[in-house]
Amino acid sequence: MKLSELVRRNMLANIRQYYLYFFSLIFSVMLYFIFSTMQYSEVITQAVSFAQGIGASFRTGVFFLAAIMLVFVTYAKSLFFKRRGREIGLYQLIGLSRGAVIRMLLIENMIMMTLAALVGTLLGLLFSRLFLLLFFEIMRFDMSVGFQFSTAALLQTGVLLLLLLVVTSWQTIKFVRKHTLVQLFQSKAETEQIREIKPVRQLMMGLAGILLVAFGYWLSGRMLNAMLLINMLVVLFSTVLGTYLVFRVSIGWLLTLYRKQMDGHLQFKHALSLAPLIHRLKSNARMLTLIATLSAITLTLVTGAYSLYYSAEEEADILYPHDFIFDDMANELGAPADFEQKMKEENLSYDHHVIETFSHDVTYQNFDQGLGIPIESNHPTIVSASDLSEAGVEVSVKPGEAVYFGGMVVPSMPEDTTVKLEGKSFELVEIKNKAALNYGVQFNVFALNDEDYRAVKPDYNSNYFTFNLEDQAERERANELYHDISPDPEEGVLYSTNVDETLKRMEMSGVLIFIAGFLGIVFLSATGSILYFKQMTEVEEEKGSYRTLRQLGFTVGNMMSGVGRKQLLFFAIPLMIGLGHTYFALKSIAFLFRTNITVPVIISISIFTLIYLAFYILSITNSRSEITRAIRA
Amino acid sequence: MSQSKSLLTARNIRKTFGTKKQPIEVLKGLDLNVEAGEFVGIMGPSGAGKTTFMNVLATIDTATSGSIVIDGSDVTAMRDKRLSEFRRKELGFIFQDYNLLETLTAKENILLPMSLGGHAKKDVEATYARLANAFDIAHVANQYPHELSGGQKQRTSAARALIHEPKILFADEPTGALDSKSAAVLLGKMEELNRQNGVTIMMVSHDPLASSYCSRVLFLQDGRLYTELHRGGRSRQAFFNDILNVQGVLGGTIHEVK
Repeated sequence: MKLSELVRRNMLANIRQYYLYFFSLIFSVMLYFIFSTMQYSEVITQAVSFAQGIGASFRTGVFFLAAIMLVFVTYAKSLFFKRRGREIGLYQLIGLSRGAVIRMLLIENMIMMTLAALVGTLLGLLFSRLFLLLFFEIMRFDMSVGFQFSTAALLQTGVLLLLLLVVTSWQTIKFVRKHTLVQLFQSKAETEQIREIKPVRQLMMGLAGILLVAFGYWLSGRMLNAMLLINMLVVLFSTVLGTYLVFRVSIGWLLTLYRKQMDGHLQFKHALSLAPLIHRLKSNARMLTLIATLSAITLTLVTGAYSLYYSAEEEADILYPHDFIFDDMANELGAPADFEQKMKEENLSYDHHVIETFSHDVTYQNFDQGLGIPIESNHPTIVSASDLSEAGVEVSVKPGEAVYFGGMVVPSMPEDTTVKLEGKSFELVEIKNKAALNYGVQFNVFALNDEDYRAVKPDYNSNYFTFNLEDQAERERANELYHDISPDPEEGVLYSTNVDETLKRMEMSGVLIFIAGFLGIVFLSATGSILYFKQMTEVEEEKGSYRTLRQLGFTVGNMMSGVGRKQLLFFAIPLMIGLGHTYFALKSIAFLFRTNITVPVIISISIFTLIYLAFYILSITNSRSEITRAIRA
Repeated sequence: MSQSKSLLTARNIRKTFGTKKQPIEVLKGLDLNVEAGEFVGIMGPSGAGKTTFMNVLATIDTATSGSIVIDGSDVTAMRDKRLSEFRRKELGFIFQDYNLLETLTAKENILLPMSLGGHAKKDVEATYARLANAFDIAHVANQYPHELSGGQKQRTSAARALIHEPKILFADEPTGALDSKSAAVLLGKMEELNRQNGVTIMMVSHDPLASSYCSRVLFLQDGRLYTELHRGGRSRQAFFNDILNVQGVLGGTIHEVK
């Protein structure tokens, strides 16, 4: 038989094991190509005002996608080698040289990669327009999109595939070279050595795992103080280490406790689920930890992006309460007058106010901006409450009190906090996490009662000139006029506007949600299929047991009650731990989100669960047919 | 042999492998009666159809034609699900390579046939204790198969085969992977159970020494029954010599006394 014939037969025989891997490969190549296309897309460059940031975001996305693919492909490959060790050994046993076996496997690998590359790229070409439309939909752009093709994207995809090919080929060569024939024939049997850890050590490590995770969760809600950075590192460290111990020891320990109680009288479904799980989890601990932790990070990112996207407008309004604002310097150049004139010409209706402020050294007692880092003194801007209210930022301050604008975290009512300036003391009654003047103008602002303001006011001040419009369409027109006036905003005299900021936030978070969303789906699919491959490998390894069980009079249905249960746990445990991590991660950064994140959290959790559910169903369906096949043989 | 005492009756068993155009007939019409309490050995040269015959009798494999009645139930007429249940409840198996589940302890392996429930835990525990003592494996109850010696594994396997008190115990080359001492221990235990508890046993072996523990030995050749030997009241040594003689005539491999 010629080598090419052997390769052909071989691939056909293995196609059952490979097709999901093949589909995943095609899917990832397609997404990679589409992302690359979007990275180089001129349509996007033209449409988006902050194109540079968007290009960078897509570049990052492409990079992560490549990383996920690289890890996924190499991991899947190594699992396949484990399954095919005997086959590879057999070829050598019947006289094929190592070189010939390697050549055969390399050809096989190359054919598969090339096919996946072709199909993936083709699908990418077909669907890139669809993705672009979806992207513009998310970005709320109204644009027509034609057929997309980019040579640079094609090249970039080619480079990745070449890289994948080189890595997997190297992996193949290493595998065949490194293993002796005997090892190849044992590559199934050797996998899981069943060794019991000493009970005391198991108890301690098992408890330590649970406690570390619990401590990480607990601390994650109490991170906001002077040691924020250290806290974050401690949370990360204790949660990750805890997760590892939970997978490696705790779960096995708990299951063993239950099993010991049975004193040998295991129910059949437990004999085929608990018992193997106790041993399997241990050796998969590192993989499962990685999956649970990274899933949590992915979900947190996606939820965060979603939340930012939906709060873009609100966020812009909070940080840019005035549609347009000018300072003294712009006023001297006549910018506000010019702007007003232009608006009048177009009959736009607007409110115009002048806010008087001054900056002064201030000392504090018991003051922090919400991050738990105490501040003793600084140089904020002082403004009177009525001036602010008239200009549209509603606030009322009683005599002797002060309200602070510019908190970093959730709005709060401080206690026993005093603000001293010019020898006078004011009680700080509220910290608002919004801007009084636009962000970028002055962010650190105290509002005082009018009388107090006049009393402490020095003989200098700076004024801010604000314009606000009711109507959204008029506001957008005014924004255009604003950008027409001299002096040129490039010179830094003019500030960014509410309209600009809303758009910018929408675009950035739109890109983020798009990229995070698709990367998340790719990532979860990749981990899901790795768990699936793992299960199929286990079924392969346990075929002997199934034959025995059949002879002992157990039906496939009986066996599946155990195998299904084991696989359910195998998918559900990392899912649950991943969700737990996500929950606490989101809770700890909830202060960053100005919108309710319940909806995005539910959506991402549902998608996560659905993806895993799909792989679980695929896994039990295929296991059933594999087991049926195995016991017939 | 009267029909009423017969525990297993096989009539005209045929088994054909291969394609329709090129059929290979492995079993060419075999008949067998096994009475309750017998210890039947099946011998014959390689390719005579020993294992196939036993697999068919044990319902692991199906016959192409013929009928098998075990304790009044026609197993050739049974559907797969019913057959599984029958196997699980009425038959016991010992295999050459033990076939223990690696992830279960010795005790869990032994109790496996009872694991689908429907038995009082106390009764199961009592049967287990008796068997674990009989096979001298009580002290390794909580160890995993890879921690056991070959002999211990096979005795565990035997205990598993008997835990549900089957009508017949089928053993396929049970001593094939054991050293002679472990083999003697296992066979001694099987003989003891057969004599004292009346357990009916069918055993395939190519080893005359192992077969000499039986009360009757069938010799197959080329898919047909060649002859059978009854031990009667003779000593094991005498029976062993007879077996050797038949084997010599059969022209199979000639074994030396170990």
